Amino acid sequence: MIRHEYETIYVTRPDLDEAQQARIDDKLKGIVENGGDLLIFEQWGKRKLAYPIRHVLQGSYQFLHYVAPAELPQELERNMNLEDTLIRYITVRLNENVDAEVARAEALAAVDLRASRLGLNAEDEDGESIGDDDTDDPHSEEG
Amino acid sequence: MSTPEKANVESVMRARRRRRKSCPFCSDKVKDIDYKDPKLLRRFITERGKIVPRRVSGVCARHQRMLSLAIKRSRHIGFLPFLATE
Repeated sequence: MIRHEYETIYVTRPDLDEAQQARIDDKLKGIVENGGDLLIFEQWGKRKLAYPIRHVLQGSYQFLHYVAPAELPQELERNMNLEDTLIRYITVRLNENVDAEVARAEALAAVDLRASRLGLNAEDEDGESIGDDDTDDPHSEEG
Repeated sequence: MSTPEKANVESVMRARRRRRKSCPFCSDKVKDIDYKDPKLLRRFITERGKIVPRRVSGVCARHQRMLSLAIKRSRHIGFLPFLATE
């Protein structure tokens, strides 16, 4: 079975309680783990959106990085479409026909770079905005 | 010293000819432009949120294609604005 390397970001409403958020996370993680290999799951916390989406100004960002056959992203997106508290998602195919363990090693090596690009370095929970033109984020210069 | 008129003509010509020689991505040998890097991408959009044309930014054609895709993905996920009002 040919499997590819994908990443999916999904954005949920910022006003969900922990149980609601956990239900969505567990469901989507479960789908990935069932049909493929989940390499990385990250929660980026609440961030300011660059523009209002469905009348909300913040979103809670989650990130999945996985290796799976081509049908899996479709199944994942079908499930994301069913969640009406999930306001945005994007799936990108990163590499074709990969080996899960090789991809996992590369994925783990890329964690820090991603965190610094996103301005996640501070351990504060609500990751602050990344559109740092107009926000004074003292951590944005790190890394 | 040249006459003021001549100096003016020269400065205009120099201004028009001034051009960024190399693509900022090529000089770093960038293979992928990450749509999850809004800080970088913001340098290539205007205050209004438009993608800066490469005749202005000096980006090469190949990297401009990668860049525009990255900016569009980044917009979709809410990292960058589609339009910004000042």
